[in-house]
Amino acid sequence: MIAISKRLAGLWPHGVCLLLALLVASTPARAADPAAFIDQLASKAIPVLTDSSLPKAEREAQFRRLMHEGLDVRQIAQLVTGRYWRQASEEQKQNLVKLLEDYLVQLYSARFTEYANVSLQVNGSRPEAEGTLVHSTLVRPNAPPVSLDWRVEEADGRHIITDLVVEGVSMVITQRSEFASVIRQGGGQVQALIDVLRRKVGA
Amino acid sequence: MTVLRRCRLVVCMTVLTASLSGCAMFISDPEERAEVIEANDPIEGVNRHIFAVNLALDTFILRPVSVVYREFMPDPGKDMVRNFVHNLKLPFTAINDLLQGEPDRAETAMSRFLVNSTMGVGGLFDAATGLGLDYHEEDFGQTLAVHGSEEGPYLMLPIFGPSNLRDAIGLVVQFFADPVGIAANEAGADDFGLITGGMEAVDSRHRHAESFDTLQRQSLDFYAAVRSLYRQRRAAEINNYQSDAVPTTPIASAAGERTETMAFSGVEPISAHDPTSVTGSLAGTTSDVAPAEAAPGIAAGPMMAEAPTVRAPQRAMPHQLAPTAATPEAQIAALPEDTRRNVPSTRVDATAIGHKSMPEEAEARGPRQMVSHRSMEPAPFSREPDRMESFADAMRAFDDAARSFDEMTGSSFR
Repeated sequence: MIAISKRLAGLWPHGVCLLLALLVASTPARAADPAAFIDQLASKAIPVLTDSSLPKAEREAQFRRLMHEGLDVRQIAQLVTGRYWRQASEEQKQNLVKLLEDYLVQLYSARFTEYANVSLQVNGSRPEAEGTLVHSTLVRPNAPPVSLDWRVEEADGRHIITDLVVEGVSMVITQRSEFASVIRQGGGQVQALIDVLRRKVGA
Repeated sequence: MTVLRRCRLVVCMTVLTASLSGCAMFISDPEERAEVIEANDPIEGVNRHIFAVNLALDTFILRPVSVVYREFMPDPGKDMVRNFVHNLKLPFTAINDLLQGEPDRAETAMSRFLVNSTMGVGGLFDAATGLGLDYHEEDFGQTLAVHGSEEGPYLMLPIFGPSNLRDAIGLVVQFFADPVGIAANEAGADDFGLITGGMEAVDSRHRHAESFDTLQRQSLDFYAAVRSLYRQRRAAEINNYQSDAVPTTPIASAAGERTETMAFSGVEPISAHDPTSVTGSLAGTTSDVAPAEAAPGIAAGPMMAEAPTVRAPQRAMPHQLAPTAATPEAQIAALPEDTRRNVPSTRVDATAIGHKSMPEEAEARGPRQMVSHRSMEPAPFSREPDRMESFADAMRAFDDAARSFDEMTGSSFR
């Protein structure tokens, strides 16, 4: 921690310059290029998520913050609930968004400590019908690399992630078919999904 | 003959699923229809029961065995097991390479087989990778796909795990056509396939233990998650082949070559090969059901798990796995960038389900009045189907499955 704060202190003048540059520039820096956006997000995640000394609650909080930066949970909720989204009342929607956020935080943040020294290498990007697909490779020590593709869109002048594709498997599609299945088994009621999610996150 | 009875069961299932698969077009609500088409699971009720049985087998047989294996088998021994099992798949892979019009890959597979069977002491050691003869796998389901066969409805096979009509037919063909199986039969080694199948199942279960257990624990509906993963994986493998050359814009080197250190293992457990392979790799654990020779090659999981390399174009060779990196992820990742670009278009799918209507042609085809829900509704479970906490749960899963099968067929399966 001390080392980090020292380094941060060293960065201070640069930070001021950057801030000025940002104020001058007409567009925000992060809206520049989807690939750079992913790269930047990854580099921001590193100091937080590799720190295995962080307590669980703290890491979850940090992850949550990064998640807000990288994606719009409400949009994800809409994507993964598909046609059931419109059937939901506003209150149910809000519940869904909140529970989904907790669920995602739980799903992803817990595993970050297991392997240290993992690197994300951004390889390139490709324009899609909507947004851009950013290709990257997760390189792990003593384990085979994993191909990760990020679907990135632009909204309100900033980039947001709308899907993560792991080795050809879309997280949104997987989640959506799982959620749809839960809802269908619950008699087509969105409430069924909310209940199951609530049980899962223990809220 | 037991073989005949097995065949009859397969045929029975095939006819059953084929007759049910058409019902999606009768659903009038386009969004609901899109959902049904995406699930592609007309006999979900039976599938779920079989899944529960597979899970019971996993929990009480395969998993414990693989834990013991992990503890007590030294690493070189584990490698030998995998080398041996892989080696035996090569002849059938070569046949499929030929059928898919890829003689170069067939030659690689056969050369590898010859090298490892001799220099590698019957396949226990991998001498071929060092000679540039990398491992890959083909199955007959993929051969069918290459020739334009549709996947057909999703099927959860007992023991073999997730599959679909096309891939299940591929398994049957392999049962009869795998040269290794035929040779073992000729030699009178009836249990050979069973034993190698069991070895592969245990090896694969052990290799994917963390991912599988995590997925099982964290998914809301394990069955649905596995189904989606299987379909996406399989589609990815097949499309890999077809969409070789999707252009990718390399980004500026500043961003592109920067490598950041981050603990980001979180993605792995959700990746596809793991859950399915494990569920699939139950092959061989229950001797009675697994067709002897077929068991090793056709464990749906392993087959699926490592298939990515399979369709990867032949030129991929130099990039491919070293012996240490022979897991599915490595194999895929070892491929040249442009050969494995096949990313499902979430956005399109999402809108199809979420906001927009289905293509008109589908609309025009079927009468819109009736909705067949019969096969859509899973038979009710007396408990959470994904949990196998006691032996009684497992026995109940068997019983439920048998009963649901009886109900569907009007037969007396039990």
